[in-house]
Amino acid sequence: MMGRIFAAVFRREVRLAWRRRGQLLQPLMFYALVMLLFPLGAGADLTLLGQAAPSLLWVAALLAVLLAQGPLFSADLEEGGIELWVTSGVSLSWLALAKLIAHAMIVSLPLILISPILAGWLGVSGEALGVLVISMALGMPVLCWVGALGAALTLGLPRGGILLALIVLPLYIPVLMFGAGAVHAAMEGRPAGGALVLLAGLLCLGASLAPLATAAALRISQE
Amino acid sequence: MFHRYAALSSPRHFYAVAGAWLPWLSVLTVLGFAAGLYWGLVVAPPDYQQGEAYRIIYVHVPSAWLSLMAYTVMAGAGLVALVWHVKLAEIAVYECAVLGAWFTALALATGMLWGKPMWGTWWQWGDARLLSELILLFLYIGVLGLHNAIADPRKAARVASVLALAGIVNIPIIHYSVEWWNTLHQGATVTRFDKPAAHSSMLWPLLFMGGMFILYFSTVLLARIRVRVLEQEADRQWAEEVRNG
Amino acid sequence: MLEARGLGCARGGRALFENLSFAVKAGQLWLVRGANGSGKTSLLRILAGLLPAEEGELVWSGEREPPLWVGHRVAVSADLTARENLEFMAALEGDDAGAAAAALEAIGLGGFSETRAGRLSEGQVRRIALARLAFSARRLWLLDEPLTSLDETSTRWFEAQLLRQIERGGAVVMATHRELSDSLQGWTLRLGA
Repeated sequence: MMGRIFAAVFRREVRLAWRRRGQLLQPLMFYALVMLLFPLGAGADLTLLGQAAPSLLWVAALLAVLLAQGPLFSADLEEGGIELWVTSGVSLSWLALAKLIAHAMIVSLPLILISPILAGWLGVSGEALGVLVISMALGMPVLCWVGALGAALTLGLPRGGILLALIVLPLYIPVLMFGAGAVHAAMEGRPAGGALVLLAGLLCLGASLAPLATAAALRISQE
Repeated sequence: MFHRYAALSSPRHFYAVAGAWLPWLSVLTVLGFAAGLYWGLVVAPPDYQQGEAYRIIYVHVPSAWLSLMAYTVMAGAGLVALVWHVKLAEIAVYECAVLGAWFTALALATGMLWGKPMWGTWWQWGDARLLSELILLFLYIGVLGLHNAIADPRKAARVASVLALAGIVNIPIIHYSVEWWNTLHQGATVTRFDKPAAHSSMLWPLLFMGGMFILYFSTVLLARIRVRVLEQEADRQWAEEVRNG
Repeated sequence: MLEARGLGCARGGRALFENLSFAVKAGQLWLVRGANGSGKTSLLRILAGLLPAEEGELVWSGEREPPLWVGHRVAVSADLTARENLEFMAALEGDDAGAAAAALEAIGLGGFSETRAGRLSEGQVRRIALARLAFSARRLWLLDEPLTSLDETSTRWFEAQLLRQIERGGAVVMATHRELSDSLQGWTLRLGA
């Protein structure tokens, strides 16, 4: 029963994402554009860019994820989908978990896949590319979930976008530090394992707490 | 037992009880602060390395303590507000955020003031504590901003409570990540918090000031909640009676 | 089934209703009536568990059962087809999703089952949400202005579902401005009087 409901929510999210795939492309384009701006702004100083590459990639990806959060629950709110969730009698955290996992996959995957290409622009290569992809695979879902919580908290507020950034960005700091730190380490030939393990820890923590907090926020949004 | 707490948590009783306590607490806070400052700024010996400049710790360190304590109290109040829908706890969330943000700002300002003679610069990225304090300030600003954006005070309090709880889970992680980042980029950090407090003649006034800050926090929190309760319950009969004397 | 004891609700600092008590029993139809802004929607949302009651309490005889809720916003996604929407609702509420196609047929949307809801009219969208009434196993239905923008045929279909729900021992609480046909006898709760 619970599994069937989980599958139903998951399928619905994937289907909706596919039907609104234009929306999905926007964060991706944003990411690519920002990464194009850095070399232009830095006067194509490749050594400088290469050194800063992990931070630039992570910051740009982080902002792209943040951008993808705004519309996460807005259609559900306007159409009454959240009311349906709350009144369905199914655990709201469970529904949120299904939605969050689908959301993390839908938003993160394209960003992770395009990252090595963008990293190549900045002269990142070799083992660091692999570490970049792994760090993003571990960190991006956490960013998605924290962002989803922010989206649920600012649901229906006028000018919620800037507020969303304000409450979410400080919470993004650990992921940014560990993520960019791992890539930095790999580029300098130091072991990146420690930072990746810490990211994995954050992933587990996020997966267990984000659905609860998001569910609470969604419930309150209906009051 | 439970009934006593239940009665105290009713806005009306709280208003009366807090009103009776506040004059005493206020007097105690003022006297305690004066004594603590005298102890720290005059009686305590100067530091053998930093001379008189170190004395800013008697404001800086308690502020930093309180900035964290206020966040913890806020998250605790948030939990109570979410689970039991207690009005006083809902109000406490916002008032804790206001006070906590001020403590954080004070800790930051005094930290930077202290940094100038110490490192010759106002801001040192190598100092993990100052950086954590800055992030904490942003966490507070987020809670306040979210609360202010929602018109209905009860809903605002509950939304802010969820964010406060998310923040309290994150604070240790942020703190740890900042320290981790720090060791990675700066090598050894300047540890300036352990040194001055090593002597008991300096430590005792510091702890005393910490106690006074807690007292100040409690007093002002109580006063602020009391005012806000009256405001939110303005259309109730008891509030009417209070207003008419 | 469900008893309301001394319910009170204030929105935006204004008391909508106070000390409202009533008991919804099996086989009963309750009509909530009142002017705009008299608190009909708020009352239904409190019953549905969407809004906490500021005063008073809700007492369920037996376990708290999730109701079937059709609000003003009907939870139909514009980017999903009529059938996908209905099947999702059925899955969420533990009903047989296989009954969705037949229900769409019955409410006169058979030809639109593969059309995205965004391309349907307001009345048709509402009918997608109401099609659940044909197969829902929920004992308590809470409906907020379900008749808005429904045509004659759909209204008759809807009334038949109400009758069926009552006869099998379920209960319905609905807010409406419209008059129902004489075959439906209900209790009336008038707000703001």
